[in-house]
Amino acid sequence: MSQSYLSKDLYSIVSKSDERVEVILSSADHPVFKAHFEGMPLLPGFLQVDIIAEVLEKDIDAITSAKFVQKVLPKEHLTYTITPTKSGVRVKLLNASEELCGDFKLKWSDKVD
Amino acid sequence: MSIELNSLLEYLPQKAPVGFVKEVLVCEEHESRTVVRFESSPTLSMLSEAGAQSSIFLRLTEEKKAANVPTRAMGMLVSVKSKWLYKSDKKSFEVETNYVSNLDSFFIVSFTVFDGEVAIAEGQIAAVLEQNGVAL
Repeated sequence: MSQSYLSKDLYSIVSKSDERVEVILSSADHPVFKAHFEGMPLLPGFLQVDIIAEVLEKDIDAITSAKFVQKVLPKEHLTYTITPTKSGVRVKLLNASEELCGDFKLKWSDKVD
Repeated sequence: MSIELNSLLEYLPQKAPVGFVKEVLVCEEHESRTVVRFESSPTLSMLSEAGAQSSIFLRLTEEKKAANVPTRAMGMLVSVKSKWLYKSDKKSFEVETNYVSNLDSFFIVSFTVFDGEVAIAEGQIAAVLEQNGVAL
């Protein structure tokens, strides 16, 4: 699995299948959290989407919709659930309290290197 | 009175390596145009974030600054939709954003990413302006 320059060391994978992925985010010392934002570290929405594509080795062709419902903090244990739809996949992002953080409808394809 | 557009970059709350906007080319009430750069070929999500960051420069007009509109407010991204029009492996692009609508602090903005003259991605973002965690 290749990681982007932004996601390197940003998360570690706890478990992984085509239907469910669990990750733990790094501490607030990671450069991404220091940059977004200074004094208020949050996982940027675009990385919420890119992490699941990266873990499952997908290229996103279209973001049909991505809703960012709740702020995602450093060290959080996150669970992605992936459900196929007629036109792509629906990905829900939950925190350790099983609160919905993100709801993404995506069209993706297998990554080609 | 004219303003030095690139002095506006200090208002970008996202810093390197997450701050993608490197130059401000156009900063008007309903339109902005910026140069964005990445360290490697960006994903569609990164281009969408670049659209969101570029949209910050829609509201930094002299009139608004003079009226004490809180230019340091953060725009918390609420939703995004976007698609590739033409995939590019370059690392630098121009992003045009256009105001669509707003209801109080809830803004909708469209964006288009250009590689030279070619539009490579487009989409729409919705964001809420916040200051100290409170919607304005």
